[in-house]
Amino acid sequence: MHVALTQTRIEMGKDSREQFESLARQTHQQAFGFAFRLTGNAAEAEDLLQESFLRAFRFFARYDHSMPFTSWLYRIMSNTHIDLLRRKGRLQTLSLEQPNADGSLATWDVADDEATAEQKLIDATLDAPLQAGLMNMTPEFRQAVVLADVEGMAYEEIAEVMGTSIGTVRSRIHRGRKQLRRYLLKAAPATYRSLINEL
Amino acid sequence: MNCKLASTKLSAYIDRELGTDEMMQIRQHLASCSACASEAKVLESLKFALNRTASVEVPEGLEERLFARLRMEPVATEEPAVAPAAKPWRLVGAMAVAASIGLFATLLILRLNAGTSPSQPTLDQFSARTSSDALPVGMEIGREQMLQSSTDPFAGPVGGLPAVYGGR
Ligand SMILES: [Zn+2]
Repeated sequence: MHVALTQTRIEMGKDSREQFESLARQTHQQAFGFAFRLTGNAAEAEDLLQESFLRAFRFFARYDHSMPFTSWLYRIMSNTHIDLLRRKGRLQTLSLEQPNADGSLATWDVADDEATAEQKLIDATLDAPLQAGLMNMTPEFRQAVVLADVEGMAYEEIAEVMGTSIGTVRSRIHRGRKQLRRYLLKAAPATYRSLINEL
Repeated sequence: MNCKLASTKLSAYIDRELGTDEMMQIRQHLASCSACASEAKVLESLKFALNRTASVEVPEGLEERLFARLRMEPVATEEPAVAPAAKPWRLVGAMAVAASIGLFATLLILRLNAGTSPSQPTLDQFSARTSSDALPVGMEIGREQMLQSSTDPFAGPVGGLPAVYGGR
């Protein structure tokens, strides 16, 4: 009887590992993009990604399958992001006054897609100041703005991911965008002007 | 609607996240107020710029490293024990926060004491270290996050998960 029970558990365990790995395969690239926007460099993004997937795996029994896996994963990532910042003592050092959180402004390649080489070049040059602007935001504002503007989520979904109210999401996004504007105006005025004149 | 009220809703307006009435009120205000209209335009430009950012290229070998690490992890064979009620955890969390704030203050004082001058830190010295533009804001955010995080079931430190794992 004891043996049978153990076997059932092992089978359940195998199932859930397979299930989790399949979800992880489908989502890890997108999740890496989110991690990169939050951390600003590939090494920290990978740390965040790995830590988050580990936590997700450990808590997988609690995952409610009626919720999109990415929403659940992003919630864990948002919390893990704050935890990692705290562990590194970064929460106090991040401020608008600093040009960059840790001086390690990301270098990354533009993903291959159908965009023309010229468009890629424009995007790549815009990307660096915008990413620097993200890094100079208050971490929760950054999370909310990335979820809304890069990931394209609605406020309700962001509220679910961040475990907060829609009103708080609304305020974080608004204040985050204002921080971004203040940063660009000061640190990258030419970029700022070109962005504003485009519309 | 006045400017003060309108300006707080501009982001939600460009995100189409206001109710029908509010959307209309803001639209009317923007039609007659050039200051708010240009503010809305700026915020919208930033949103579009972020929306167009290039997708990030995944580093070589990331997938292999991730799955290798996941395979080292035993499967949680039982539903992890959920904290029975929020209150005890909140209390523990609050105590931990209080303790860590106390520790932080103690460390700060110790560090001040350990400086080259053997004298006690003066009030000026202390405020010189804590009254920069960045620090109080950061500390406040840090505390808020500590509280939020310690009450969130997903956010527990890795070593302290209340679940039963492995072959039990
Ligand atoms: Zn106005």
